[in-house]
Amino acid sequence: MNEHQGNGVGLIVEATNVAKVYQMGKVEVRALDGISLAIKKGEFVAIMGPSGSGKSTILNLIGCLDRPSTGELRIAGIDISKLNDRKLAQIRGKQIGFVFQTFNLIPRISAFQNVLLPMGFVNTYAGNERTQRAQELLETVGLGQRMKHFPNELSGGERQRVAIARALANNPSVILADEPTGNLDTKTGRAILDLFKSLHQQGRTIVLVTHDPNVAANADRIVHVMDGRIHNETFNKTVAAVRS
Amino acid sequence: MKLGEILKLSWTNIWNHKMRSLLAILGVLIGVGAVIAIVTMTTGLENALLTTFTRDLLRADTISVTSQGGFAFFGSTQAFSDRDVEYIKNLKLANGKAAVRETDVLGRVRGDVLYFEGRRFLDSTVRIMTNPNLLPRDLGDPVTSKGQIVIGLAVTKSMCERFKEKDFAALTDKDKEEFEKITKEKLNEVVNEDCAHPKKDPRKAELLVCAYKKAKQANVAEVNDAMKNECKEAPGSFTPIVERVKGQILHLKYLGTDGTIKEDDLKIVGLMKDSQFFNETASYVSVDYHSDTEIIDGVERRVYTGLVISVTQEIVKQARLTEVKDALTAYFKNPQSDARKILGNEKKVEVSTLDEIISQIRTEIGKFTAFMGAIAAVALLVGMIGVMNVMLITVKERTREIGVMKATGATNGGVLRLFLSEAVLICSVGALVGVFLGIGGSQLVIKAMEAVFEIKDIPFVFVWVWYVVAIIVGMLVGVVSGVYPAWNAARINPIEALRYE
Repeated sequence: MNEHQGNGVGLIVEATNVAKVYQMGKVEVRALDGISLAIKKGEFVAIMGPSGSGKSTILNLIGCLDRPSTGELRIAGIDISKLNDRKLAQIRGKQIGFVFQTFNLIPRISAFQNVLLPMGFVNTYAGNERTQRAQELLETVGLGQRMKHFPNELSGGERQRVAIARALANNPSVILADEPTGNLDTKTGRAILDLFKSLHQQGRTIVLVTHDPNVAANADRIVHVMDGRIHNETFNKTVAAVRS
Repeated sequence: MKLGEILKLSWTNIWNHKMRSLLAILGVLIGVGAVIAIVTMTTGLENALLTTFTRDLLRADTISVTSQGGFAFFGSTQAFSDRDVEYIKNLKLANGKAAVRETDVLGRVRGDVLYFEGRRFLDSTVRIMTNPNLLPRDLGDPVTSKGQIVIGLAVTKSMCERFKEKDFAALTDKDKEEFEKITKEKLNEVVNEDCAHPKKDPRKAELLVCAYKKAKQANVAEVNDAMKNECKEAPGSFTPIVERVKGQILHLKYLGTDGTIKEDDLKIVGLMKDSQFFNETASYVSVDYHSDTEIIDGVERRVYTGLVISVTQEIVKQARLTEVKDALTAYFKNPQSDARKILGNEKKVEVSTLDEIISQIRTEIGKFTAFMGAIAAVALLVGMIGVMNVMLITVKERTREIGVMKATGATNGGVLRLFLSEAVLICSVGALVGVFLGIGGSQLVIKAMEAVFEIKDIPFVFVWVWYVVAIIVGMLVGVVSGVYPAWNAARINPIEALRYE
């Protein structure tokens, strides 16, 4: 952590010249071709790009589901390039909150138990705190009344709210959302984006991957990715203005 | 994750696939159940055998002698001559003290046929037994001496039937016709009311006939049934019709020592109680002159299939049974003994104390248990493969979920434990239920064995250690069947898992 403070105070993601190369049989696929990216604490960043541009690879790397082939990647100050599977899993549990396009709730357990589950994987919260925290988080996302419901008893929007509550379970450093509104109608999608915005206003760091400019428009900063490189970055003045 | 949480989640998963889980549990259940049923059953069988030998046949102060190849007294060769018996009676230990109190013989009567009132009994053999104490407990006075016989169950039953026929023959045709009309209820009514509590009366059979006559309306088939039931009851239970067997005279024809057919009238002095392994077709006489003979060194000698040697009280007190046993073993190795002459060099003579016979029984039953258990264990193996199959399907089905769990912080080890606990849970439930069903199943097998082999009263023995072992083995089966699927689950790449459809 001391090292982290030396490199730049308050950086949640620090990617320096990160490349990712996949070996597909005899062909080498360069999914990421040396990107450098820094995301500050409390930022709301959208990563945009067409399919195959490398945005999913960036998401997987930031989410510690994968390691870079070359370059240095620090998540919350920790260099993840050399970590083993077990350490990576622990970082995922403590620092990252995933929100998926298809919600990915566990169907056989209730909304409440879904939120509780990640708290069992790491020890951020003591056993006796967990129940109360899960309840509070579900209340935060507006599902205080539906805690005992099973995923198949909830609407798409409600499921995504449960998923967001689950992402917040271990109070992560960053929330990684992969097309979180992709499976929702416009109105419900709007509401979910509003929820992200309010989380952002509470000081949460959010990285949102999308190909939809309207969704990306909610972020402070939009990082455009193309052919495995960062094409350009734009700052959303409106949002920034509202925030300041 | 804590063990409690893991188990809870595993149970939720099992519960949500009831049919699939049930079938997997069933596989383990059948395997464990089969093993437990066999172990429980054979333990009961062992107890029954031991009871027979310790209660009916041998005592702690006896040494049994049979030829090799026979198990206890079954299947032994007629090799022990009266000269051998004489030698043993006079056996002395090194200090010159007499070692043997009594030597009893077991033997066969050559060419024996039993007759009762001119009709012969099929399927019955007459054996020789000199010690009445060695006979299975008898309802009457079991002392057999010249002119007396203790009859086995087969003969008892056969005689009952004969009485029944006679009693019924005493009825007139007109009576019989009228009996046809009566219902069973009426029959019971008549018997109970008119014949003054025949159940307490020792002459029940006659009273039954009297009741039918009195009522003048009875069904022939029911009369037959009633009397048949009367005979079916164990002779030991003192039913009146059985009581009539005692004191009757049986006629025995046998092959005499001079090769001619001899005849004897024998009075029935006792009925053999059902004994689990005593041949119920055998009746016993104690008389020496019926026994089979062999010419040994030009002299005709009586030969017996086995000896039961009772040592003196002194030997028992000084715990010198082994010395006597060694002396006997030495004698039967000596080419001068008649047994050695008859058996030649091929067969040995088995000299065993009660303890040795008990351990011999245990060994034999143990072999049987191991053999049957191995067959049952195959069922468990099949069950294990079933659980493995179900777990592999489960892992495949939940690939995406595994991805989610890994993304939210589950380590490979955590995923492994989760699936392993699911397999162990399935197998534990199977083992637990299997133990209970196995105990129940053993009773069915015991009933079947009793019916097929006509063995009575195989006891029901709880083998607690085996039940605990079975549950532990069940859990181990869970580990073995779950480890590969769980390992598969743990290895899943989260990125691919999250994309998995």
